[in-house]
Amino acid sequence: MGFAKREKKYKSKYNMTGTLGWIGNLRMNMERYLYFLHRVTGIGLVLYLILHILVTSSRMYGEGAYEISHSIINNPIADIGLFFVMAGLIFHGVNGIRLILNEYGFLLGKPTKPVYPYRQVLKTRGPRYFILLMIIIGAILLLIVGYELLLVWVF
Amino acid sequence: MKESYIRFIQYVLGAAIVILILLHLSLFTSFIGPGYEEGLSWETVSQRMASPFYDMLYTLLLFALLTHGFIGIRNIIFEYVTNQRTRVIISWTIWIVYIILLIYGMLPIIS
Amino acid sequence: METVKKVTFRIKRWIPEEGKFRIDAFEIPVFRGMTVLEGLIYIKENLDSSLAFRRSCRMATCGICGIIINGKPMLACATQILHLNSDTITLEPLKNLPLVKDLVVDHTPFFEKQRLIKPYIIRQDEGEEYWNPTREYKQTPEEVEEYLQFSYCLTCALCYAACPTSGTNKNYLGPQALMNAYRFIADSRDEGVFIRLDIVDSPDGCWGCHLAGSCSDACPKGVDPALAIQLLRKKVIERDLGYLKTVKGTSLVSPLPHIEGAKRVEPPKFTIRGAKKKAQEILEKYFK
Repeated sequence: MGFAKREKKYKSKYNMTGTLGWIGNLRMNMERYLYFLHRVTGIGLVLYLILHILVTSSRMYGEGAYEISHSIINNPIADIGLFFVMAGLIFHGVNGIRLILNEYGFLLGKPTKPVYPYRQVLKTRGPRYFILLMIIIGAILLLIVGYELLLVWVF
Repeated sequence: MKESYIRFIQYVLGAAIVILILLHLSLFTSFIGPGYEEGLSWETVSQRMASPFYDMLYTLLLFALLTHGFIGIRNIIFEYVTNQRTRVIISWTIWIVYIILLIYGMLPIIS
Repeated sequence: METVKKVTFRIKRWIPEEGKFRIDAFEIPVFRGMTVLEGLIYIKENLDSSLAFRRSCRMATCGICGIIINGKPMLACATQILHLNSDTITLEPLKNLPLVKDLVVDHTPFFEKQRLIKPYIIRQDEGEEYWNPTREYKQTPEEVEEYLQFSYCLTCALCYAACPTSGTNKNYLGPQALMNAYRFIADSRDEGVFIRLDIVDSPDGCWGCHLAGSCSDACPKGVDPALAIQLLRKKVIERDLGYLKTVKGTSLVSPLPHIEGAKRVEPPKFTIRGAKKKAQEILEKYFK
């Protein structure tokens, strides 16, 4: 497949949406927003994971190094950041369960006869109620996280 | 390796991470564990990491998170890089970063 | 026709000589039931004859007039201006395809990708019967319903323009080609499952899909490519686990067996000289 080479050969300009295509066109469906958020939180979580490994690995240099590395992150601003990381993590996990199920063809049902008004499987009850269920679970988990962080700094 | 195997690993690990992360985070809640601030203190952490159960948990979690994350990054990069040769080079770079991080993350668990 | 109101068309035109876009605004009178395509034809007839756009059937059957209307890929012929509920309508050429002029894009990469997944029935018992058929393959209505929805595709490239993965990856097969691959895999007559799954099983194939669902949202015929791609992945996993069979064992049935001496109806003769030879050349080039 040499579709990128073709561009050079014919000197034709592709009208690509590029990275802006993650957010997409002006009018989007719900899954497109979830797709965008899943990607952005995924990249963010990998960066956080690397940071997390570097910080917690200070444990092997003894108690002193551990205390120093944790004194850096032990302030309210870092914990507000942590709250957003946790929100991203919860979204990524909850949406990930939906993606694993849907991408292997579960919860989607069978193809139907194309009779007007056309049915879109992603807009039928099954997937939409599943999204609702996932939103509820995510909200509960996020409340717990918020409560724990408030416990440290406010109460 | 077939792409479907790679994605299968990613999905299975994704499902595993959900359970492992819940275990990991429940240690820092005041409902189950000692609470966020207590759970991070030196004494609690060294006590926790002395038991083989938590060693296992964190080894699995580290492996699962890194693999899942780097396969995801690889998938995003492959959308931008279409050349097969460049893809191989990028794969190797990701492998190296992955192994370095895995070893560095494993060191405090082993020691 | 009675004019209801005036609407401004803001057309993002590709100027190939300058290599950039130019936005032109046209004010057109709108009557009830007027489509965007009729608005474009009005502009070409009365305001600017140099405007280039593609159209053929003007009734959502050929799928060539796809453009981006107010930021969403739609068929110009199947969209009524008054239904859009806005005084200014932005028109753009389709995304992710090479530009030609104004609103015209080159569909060649799109069709070549469809060709890559071998959009025809592959048989293991390919022989004389395959190339010069005398009988038909048996298929029940239930088996037809497995793929009927996906065979309604117009190849209008709206899903391709809406897809976020097609927006960055030029080699990605796109929702239409993957949907078409599933359409033939689900067909009970087809036996080329493994051939197609090998083509599709790559980061540029079905694993490039991330379930953004924009393709199904854009589809004017309710084909639902998003569903087809997920079911295709299910097939890939079934193959990995060893569930799939190549030979489905669809038997052949004679046409009209109850009539004595029933003959096969011959296809119409080629009217242009040399057309048969040309057709055979194309068949040999692409389908063998």
